Amino acid sequence: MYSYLKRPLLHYLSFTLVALFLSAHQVNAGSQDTYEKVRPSVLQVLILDKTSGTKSSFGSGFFAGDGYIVTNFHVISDLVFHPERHRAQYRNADDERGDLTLLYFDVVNDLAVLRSDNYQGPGLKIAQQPPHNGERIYAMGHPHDLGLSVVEGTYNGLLEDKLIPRIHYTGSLNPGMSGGPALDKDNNLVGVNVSGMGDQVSFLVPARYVSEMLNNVKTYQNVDFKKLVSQQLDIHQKTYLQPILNKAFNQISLGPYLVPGKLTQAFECWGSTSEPDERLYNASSHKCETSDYIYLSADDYTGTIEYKHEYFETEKLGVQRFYGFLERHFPLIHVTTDADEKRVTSFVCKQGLVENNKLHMKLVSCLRGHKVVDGLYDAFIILTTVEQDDAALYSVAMVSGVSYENGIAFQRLYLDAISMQAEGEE
Amino acid sequence: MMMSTLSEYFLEVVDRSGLVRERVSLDQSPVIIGRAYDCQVIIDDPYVCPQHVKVSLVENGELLIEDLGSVNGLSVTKHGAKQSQLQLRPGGDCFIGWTKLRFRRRDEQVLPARHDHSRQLVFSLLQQPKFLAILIIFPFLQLMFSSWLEEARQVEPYTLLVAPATVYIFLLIWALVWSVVGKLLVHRACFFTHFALASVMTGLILIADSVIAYVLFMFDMDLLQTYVQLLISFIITVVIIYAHLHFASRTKPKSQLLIAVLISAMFTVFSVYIEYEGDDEFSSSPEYSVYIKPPMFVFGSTQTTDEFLSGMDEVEREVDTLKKAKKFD
Repeated sequence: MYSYLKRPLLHYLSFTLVALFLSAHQVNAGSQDTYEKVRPSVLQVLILDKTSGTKSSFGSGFFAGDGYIVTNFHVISDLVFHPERHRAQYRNADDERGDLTLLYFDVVNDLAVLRSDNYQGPGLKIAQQPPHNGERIYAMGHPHDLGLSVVEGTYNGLLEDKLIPRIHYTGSLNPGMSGGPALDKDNNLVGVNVSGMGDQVSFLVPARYVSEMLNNVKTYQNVDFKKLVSQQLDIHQKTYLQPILNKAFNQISLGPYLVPGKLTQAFECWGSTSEPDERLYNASSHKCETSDYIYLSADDYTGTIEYKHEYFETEKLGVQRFYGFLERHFPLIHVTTDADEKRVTSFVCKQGLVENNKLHMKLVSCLRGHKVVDGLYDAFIILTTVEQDDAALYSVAMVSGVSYENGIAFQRLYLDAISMQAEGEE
Repeated sequence: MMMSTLSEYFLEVVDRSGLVRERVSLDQSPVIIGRAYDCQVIIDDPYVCPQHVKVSLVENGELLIEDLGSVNGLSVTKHGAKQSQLQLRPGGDCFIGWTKLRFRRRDEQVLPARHDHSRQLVFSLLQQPKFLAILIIFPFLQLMFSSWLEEARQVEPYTLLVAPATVYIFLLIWALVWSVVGKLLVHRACFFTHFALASVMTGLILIADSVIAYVLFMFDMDLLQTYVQLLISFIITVVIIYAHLHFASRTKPKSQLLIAVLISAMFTVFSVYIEYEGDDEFSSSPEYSVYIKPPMFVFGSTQTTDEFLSGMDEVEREVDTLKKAKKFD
């Protein structure tokens, strides 16, 4: 039975297996070549506790010419914020160790450059042209402190719309590989390993930021690293907020209201409407956020914008129950960055009843300051309209790592974009 | 000089809890006191013998108490040494079994009558079962109503009983404590009165909290809410504890008020401690009043967005002060 199918099926299976074998052979050849040639250029970067001499964290790094060792900022951030407690060391392919000195960094793009006084490996060349989408590239590093590894994956292009551009790399980047190089088939630097979301979705810092950073190394010598973090974050927030704050916010409709919609392509937005269930009200929500952030320390991320609107209406709850529900809902806010008191102050809030675009609302605006980074604040705003007895708009926005002026400018534009739709517009 | 007779005396029989159980006139001499029915004074105490003591008057006007060979004897104090006989002056006392015998002269001065507060309308109402039932049920309904207000979903009615029932368990314990105190001090428990008082306290504090929150919101004085609520709760607690003490003690009204103030102050200090404990500690979430809308007064005093945001300069200065206060190193 079905014998007429056997021959073509066998042919097909044979062809597939051969194709797989050839493909695997080619893959192995590519990875092996990269491993052998690039091995002397890749290092493990260890951050040691000065008191005990044991490692407190580790990542990877590579030589990028002139003896400069490039890694991620997040690998060496302890050298910036706690230099009195930490020092850096390299471990090369031959398991030799030596001290490293931090020279410069780019906190926004998560890059840092270090140097060793007594060891220099061959520098990797930066690729002149980015690979084509779908092309094989090779990420190298020391995953989980298990020794040097090569991870073959796919180049999937530059995510230009992000506030902080990243290369989308399909391949598994594991902890410990941060700061390692990602190379094309000619072993030229395409990017620097920086983060992974699991399921082979990973990200690389584009190699052009390595060039830009290395060009700045000699200009910025003997700088105060904490001040440098402040300067870079201040320039970054001014740069990325300028196009957002220079014009009125886009609006979308939510119930009878107009609210801020997607501000730029860097924002990802979602919406939902509640299914009818035992709830005595209907809810529609719209949420937007920037998905990229700047790493400062393990529990301190900054540079994010997120906002959420919810529209509630009810026919069955009376005014007391409806506003009672809103009052219980009002404090349910979500603050992404949960930095501790060593890094940020508590929020200080101002609240009141405000008339905004002829809408009466309870408005709360809060600020907290960064203790590490001078001049930067997190600005938080939350509001609920009080116009109607059976419907209300609830909106909350958080902008982190901005100047006071930009934080308030954002809040002003945000409030400007909240209004009631004209009759018949809904 | 006229000779005294035993009929000038009467006997107070004081039970183990200190309560005068009965007062007996001593008409003939001698008087036999015991548990037997042929005694002149019959004591209902299993530790007293059928014929326990004999009381007679001696020449100097004192009373002579003689043990009639009882099992548990006669003593000056409750667990004192057994005496075969005792001589007592008027006002003196002795123990037989677990019973105290106190002898008084008929012409002894008594304290002036105390004003009967329980005849005041409020206190007399607090002893009427129907009124007590209303006082107990009303706050329960009030709590059910609060639960209903807080529920924005379709719920089964019985679920609205959960919160009031939980509160009432604590009120039962509270009332029970006062009843035990009352039973010990004045030999009456008045459980339902104490239970009603506890319920009233809960109801009044609930109403006061809501009214205060609305009024302060109306006058844009949200920040005072906690303090005013604490003050009003303190006053309510003083009044209720005063009422508890009225039913559970025999101290003077002034002393009851002082004790009520002290107990309430203790509760208030405890509440303040709970409220502000760790207040200086860092919080990673914004903290603000969640009160949104007093329905009738919403348009009382509103500011424009510009006026509101221009006030953020002050907030920035406060944040900068915080930054300087605890600089990260």
